[in-house]
Amino acid sequence: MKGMNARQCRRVRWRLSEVVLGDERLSVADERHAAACLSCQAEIAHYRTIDRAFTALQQEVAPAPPGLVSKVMAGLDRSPIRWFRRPVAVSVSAMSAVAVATTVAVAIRRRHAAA
Amino acid sequence: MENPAVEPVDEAHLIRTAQTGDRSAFEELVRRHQHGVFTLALRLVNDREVAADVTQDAFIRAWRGLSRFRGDAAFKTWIHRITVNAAWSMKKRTGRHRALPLEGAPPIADTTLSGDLERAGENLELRHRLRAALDQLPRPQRTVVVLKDIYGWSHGEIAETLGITVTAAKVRLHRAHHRLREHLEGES
Repeated sequence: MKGMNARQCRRVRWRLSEVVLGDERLSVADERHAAACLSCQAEIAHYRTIDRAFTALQQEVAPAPPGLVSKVMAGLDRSPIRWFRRPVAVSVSAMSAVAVATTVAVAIRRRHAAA
Repeated sequence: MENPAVEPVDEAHLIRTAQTGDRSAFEELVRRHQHGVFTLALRLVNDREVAADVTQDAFIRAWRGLSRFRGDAAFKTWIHRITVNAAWSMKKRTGRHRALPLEGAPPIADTTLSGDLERAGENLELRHRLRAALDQLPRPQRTVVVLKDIYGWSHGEIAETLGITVTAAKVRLHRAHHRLREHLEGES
């Protein structure tokens, strides 16, 4: 019976985050366990604290940098930012360098083999 | 900053005008939503410089896709989805992940000036700890937490916008919550 309680406790504690922070519901049996279990109560208290912190974070606003509106308006005729431009350019150069190095190495090896 | 009650021009009218190609109407929309979009971008990328780029990119994408905006959802919801896509594709393509904790950046302003100093202090402490914990999360987990727990998106909306399944969104969120809890517990 003790083992079953421990298993139930682990299972309930695992689900408590989505019960407190989300919209999951416990079964009646699990609810009864959570109400009587100190570990589960401690877990619920932790997640309620996190929930309060999220509510507090919802009120925050980060002011946009000055001049952002002008930058946006000036950029309307340009293409959207091409985030991949640099990495692609870098990877193409790197691949070219590797290809040249491999060709040179193969040529040297063949010359040595022929000699 | 985004209080429609004090805005002189109706947003729906601004959108319709901007859809005809009127830049000044679109500029007014940018002016109204810049702080909200920047805040979301900052929460997702955790770097003010990159967040400004994401914000700019999001508005440019919005301008280009404005004709497709039907008004089924609020403009704010629409531009936020574009912002998430912009942040997501930027991160995915460049792998840029300059970890600059938010507390190292200029502070995010609290819009609720409470007269209750004790509660305000507790909120500040909680927010500080949660931000630090969020900084520790891997990017995919952080994204779902920001969208679900701060912006109140549904699992379905998150899944659709990020191109993942609802189950994947739920699993990420569940793991993220457990990590947050462990981090906060380890701190105290």
